[in-house]
Amino acid sequence: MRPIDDLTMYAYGLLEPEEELPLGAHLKSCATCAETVELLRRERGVIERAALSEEPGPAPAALLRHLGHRPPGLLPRRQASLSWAAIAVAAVLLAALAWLLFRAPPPENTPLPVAAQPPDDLGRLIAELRSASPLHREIAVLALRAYGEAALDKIAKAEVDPALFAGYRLKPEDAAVRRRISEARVDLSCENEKMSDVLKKMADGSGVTIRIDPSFEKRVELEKTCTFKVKDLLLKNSLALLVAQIGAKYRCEDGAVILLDSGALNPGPARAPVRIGRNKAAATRFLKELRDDAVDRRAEAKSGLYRLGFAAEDALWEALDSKDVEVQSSAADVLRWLYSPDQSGQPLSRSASAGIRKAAYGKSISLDVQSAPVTAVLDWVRETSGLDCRMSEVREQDAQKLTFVGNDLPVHSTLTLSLGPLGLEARYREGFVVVSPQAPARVGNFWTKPEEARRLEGLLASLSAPTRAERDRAAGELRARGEGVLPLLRRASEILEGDAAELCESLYAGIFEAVDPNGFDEPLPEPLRAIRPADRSLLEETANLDAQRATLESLLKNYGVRCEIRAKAEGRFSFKSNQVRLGTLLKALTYPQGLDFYVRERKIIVDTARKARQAVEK
Amino acid sequence: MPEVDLSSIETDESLAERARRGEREAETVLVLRLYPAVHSLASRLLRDPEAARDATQEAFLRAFSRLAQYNGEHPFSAWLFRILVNIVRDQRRRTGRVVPADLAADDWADSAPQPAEVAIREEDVRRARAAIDELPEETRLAVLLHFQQGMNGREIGYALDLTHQAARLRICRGIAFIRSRLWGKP
Repeated sequence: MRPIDDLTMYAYGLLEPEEELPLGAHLKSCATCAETVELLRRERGVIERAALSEEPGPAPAALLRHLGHRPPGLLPRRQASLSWAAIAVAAVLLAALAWLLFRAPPPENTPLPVAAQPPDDLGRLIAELRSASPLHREIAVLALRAYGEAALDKIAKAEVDPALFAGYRLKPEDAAVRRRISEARVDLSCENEKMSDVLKKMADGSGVTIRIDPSFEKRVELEKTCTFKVKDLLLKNSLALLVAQIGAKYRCEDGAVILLDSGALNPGPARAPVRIGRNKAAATRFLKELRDDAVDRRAEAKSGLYRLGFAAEDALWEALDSKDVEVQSSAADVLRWLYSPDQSGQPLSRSASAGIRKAAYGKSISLDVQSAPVTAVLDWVRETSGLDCRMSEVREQDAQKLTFVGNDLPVHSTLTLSLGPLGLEARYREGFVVVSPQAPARVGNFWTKPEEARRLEGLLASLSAPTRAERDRAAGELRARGEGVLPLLRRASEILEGDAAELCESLYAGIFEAVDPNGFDEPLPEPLRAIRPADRSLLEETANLDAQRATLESLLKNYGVRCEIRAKAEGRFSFKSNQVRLGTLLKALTYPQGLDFYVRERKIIVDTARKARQAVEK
Repeated sequence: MPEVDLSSIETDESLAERARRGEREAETVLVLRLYPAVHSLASRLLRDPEAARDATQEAFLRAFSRLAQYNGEHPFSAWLFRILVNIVRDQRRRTGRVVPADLAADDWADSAPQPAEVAIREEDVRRARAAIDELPEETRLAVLLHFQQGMNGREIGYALDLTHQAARLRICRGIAFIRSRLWGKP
């Protein structure tokens, strides 16, 4: 048992990352300490709540006047009440629409409803921005940012506190200009010329207006000289190269290319979540179980909320006002997860990230670094492999140093093995590799274009329609979408209940059998791996490895655990790294060989990805 | 590349840099963004609404007049809290109020809470709040900076002019004291 001070610092988040790792490993093997930490975390909830003050009012106008500004743009009350009225009217209209849609079965040729519950989600989120609770406001901002350009109009019209969206561009991108810069090509040869002249030549040559954002005008060094030579390069790529030299980025706005500070936040593309039904009853049950005295029960309840995803959304918002700290903080955690599509979202189609994943498995590189900054290593990997690597949500990026030697290893293996000891990992998104902290990879939401999201919601809702004809038509349309709806159907079969869940399962099975099986030789997502806690500790075993053309089998022997390799694993690997977790090693070396792994009765089993999936799914 | 933006909203540090270059709008955003946090801390420290408001305003005015001294090594909020802490300490010196520097060893619990004890209820929150108010001022500062402002040991060390180990120890003692008031001594 570790001293209480150590456990307190761990539970209260006071340890440095390098101190956290050994204690974290200890907790996996010491039930007493793990239980104490769990209690300390609950205690932390009490103290955190106690430390909060009564919410202060807004910054006093006197201070702002003293600073030489107008008082902050507080919301005019009239605006707020008008919006509430508008929401109320919208709610009545929606209720009427829902009644019209569901009071009688639609005739055979009536198109399917776009969505069973076309909710005014954005309106509700805007209303939450005016909540007295900082927690409501924080989550509403996160959610609205997740909607990207789909929410801009509403935010701009809502006249909310500008500080909530400080640094966030509220104008949508100009599609015509974006198209133009994606098509036009540039030939430029400038040597020691002023930046302003280079920009002018670029604008004249392409016929695209280039302007400087007013907030950036005073700081941009247009007199600075630079050498810039490109030949037959797309204008968008030329612009990106050029503006990087002055710490700027660009956006397409108001018919022109606008150069602005690289710190400004561009909204993401317009998107919306696909809500797979709503199950407030189940969510309420889980929220109630969060008050249970048994730690396991509470953990299960929280997992249940994650499993429900957006189906629990309404109940989660209500739980933000709970007097119970654990209920409130758990609800906030799940909502933050729901509205972080880059973390929790999974592609609707596997093929979306297949290209970059395959490239990372197929391309090999050699890396030999000692205490090198991760940022520099990623730059080098980008240059060598051509794969676009980015860091996301990594704090103090320059302080992260890595030591690793690897010869002729797949990019995926190199990144996984070298970043693992730093608590980082590589994930594959559409067109790029994202390096981020090894947060529990809990995926399970789907974000897509708003109209597509509504369409898919409508189809899923129609699977529970009262008439068979409507259900069949929805099933037919989903089937016709093929591989593109498989992950969605899997989630829907977990969330929906009764016949609709069964229909999703059978649709999934039908499509799965019909598509190219080779497309599914991919690793299992974490939630599917379903490893029991006792087995999970096995994957936390570490070893110092110095491999010269070693096979996976020989490397596994370093861990002294029972393993069975049921498929051909002929890859040979040369690398040197210390404190490599077994789980990291398996992910690094099995995936590029089309293999995957799972744990059964404290035994590691390596098999083809397809067979591993089937075994786990059983 | 511009197609995918993984960055977050404009940071306090970038706003401070803009403010340093004379952009008044950046000062406004900083005030709107950080006023609640600074005022909360001042309120809990001074327990006098008027004094808390004055100290908060003074902290912002001092910060903006000395922006050239901010080197960006620590978060801007930590720098601002450091200024606030100095204002509060000055005030204490002026009024001649003596506060205990730290907790005595007998004051805190040295064992973990027992399972049955940790049922989080409003009553516990109230007792914890009272325990925080009972803490010696320097310990209370560290505890509030951690729990109220979410600062880590290193940032708190900077704000209070301590090593980060000393800052962590101070928070731990504060927690142990609150624990002893919450669940009783073993």
